[in-house]
Amino acid sequence: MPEKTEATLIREVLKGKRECFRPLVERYQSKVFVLANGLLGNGPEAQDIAQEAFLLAFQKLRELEDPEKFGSWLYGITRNLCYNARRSRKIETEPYDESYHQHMANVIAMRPPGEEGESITAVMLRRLERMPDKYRDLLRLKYVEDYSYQEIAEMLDLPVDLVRSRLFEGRRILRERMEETRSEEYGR
Amino acid sequence: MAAKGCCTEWEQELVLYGDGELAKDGSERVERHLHKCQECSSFYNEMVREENLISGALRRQAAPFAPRDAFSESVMMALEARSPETVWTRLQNYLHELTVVTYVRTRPHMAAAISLLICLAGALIAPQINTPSEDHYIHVTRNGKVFRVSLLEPIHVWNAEGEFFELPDGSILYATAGTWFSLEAFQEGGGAASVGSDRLISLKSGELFVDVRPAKEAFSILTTNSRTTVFGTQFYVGVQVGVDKHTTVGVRQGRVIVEKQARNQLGSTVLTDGEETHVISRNSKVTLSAPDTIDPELLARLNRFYDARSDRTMQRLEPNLPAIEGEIIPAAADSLETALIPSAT
Repeated sequence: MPEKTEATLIREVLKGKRECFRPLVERYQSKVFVLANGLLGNGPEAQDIAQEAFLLAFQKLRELEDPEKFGSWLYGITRNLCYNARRSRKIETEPYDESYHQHMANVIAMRPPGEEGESITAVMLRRLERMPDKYRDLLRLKYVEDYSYQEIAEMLDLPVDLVRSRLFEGRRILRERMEETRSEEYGR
Repeated sequence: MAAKGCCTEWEQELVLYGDGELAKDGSERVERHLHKCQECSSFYNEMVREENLISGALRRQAAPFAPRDAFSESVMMALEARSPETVWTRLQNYLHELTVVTYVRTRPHMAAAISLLICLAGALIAPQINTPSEDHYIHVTRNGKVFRVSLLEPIHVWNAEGEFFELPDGSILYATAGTWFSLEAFQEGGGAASVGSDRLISLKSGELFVDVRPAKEAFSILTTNSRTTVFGTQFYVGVQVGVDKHTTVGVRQGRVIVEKQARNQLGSTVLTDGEETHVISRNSKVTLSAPDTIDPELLARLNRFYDARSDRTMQRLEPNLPAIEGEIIPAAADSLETALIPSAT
């Protein structure tokens, strides 16, 4: 039996067959979760937001004008929930912390050669968390699921060209900061 | 500034190549360059190595919480709990489909006229459905004694002394000593005819052991920081009220969904046989723990409840408590409507 299209499933849900909503959840759950995790950087919270996004989508399904655009509409709901969550918990990029920087350089210097990688990872994660939102959101999506530029553009509602340039810029900034860390390490 | 050790003009191409965003001819061009340029090759390998490290770390962070098979089930249960499907919603859907889908495209003016008629009919009919008549009472059995209860106000039970309650839908509650709860459900639907259409209990403090009679409609227990919704199961809800509010939910058999009830804080989990969870409010933050194996002592109490519920002998459940004649107190002292009057029959 061929898989029902999203538009067909949505029409069935609107007719009252709420079980038809389940395949839509199964189809989008991974992407919605990864998007929420990318925007919030917090797994448990991302899972809660993902569930809330589906519940809201169900409640507002009649407002969806074009059933073919269910995916991007759902991503929009997810983004809004994430931005609200960010505002309510007042996420702010941490100020530059020189002592942490020094500490991580020490950790790298003190590790035996075989364990160096783990420290670099920790520094890179910290660097990533300190990036401006516009780069960090994109980089998280790229790194966690290796989505294509087109998919990321759809999830964040951005032009593909902007996704391409921001990913490029973001990575360059990240690399440069890593280079700075290494220079400090060698310079000690 | 280009990356260290990389030909400036190739940097972007290498990033696009690594992301798989180049067409076939572009990829081949990059590969030819990588073969002959040692600097770009080193840069590319280092970039891939670092990105693999960070990618692996981020995936490890996300993995324990990635959606599992239970996710869609959890969404569907939460959906049912939040907006239960009723005959009225089905009728609304049907009418909407009839008017919107059939008429809007062909006869927009007819669609508007029919929608108006439906609204008028609804306005006329709805009050008839929702207004309970004098005959609309339900029967609640408390420690074997039947009470006839009006449906107009919530029915509060203060300081239960270890008692069984049988609700109109056949569900059985056991409230331990000192428990304070109220039956919210059986008046909200607006009459005996709709008993069971919205089964809701509010637990203020203490403990409830519950054996819910399976029904299509959800059965919910609200506490200060949680909502537990079931569709027919045996479970336990306990609330400790203090500086930190602590709700414990344990399941003997069946499935329940436990949701946080907190402003701007979302979260839910599904419990199945032999699992428990905790919802804790501390410093205005509500946390919901992951499902864990039920505490053996709590399971033993649930088993005693299950054994005792058929003959309602509370002594078997809490042997130290003497049975006393219970009394359900109305929500407002001057409201005779809510007084629990022993049934004439």
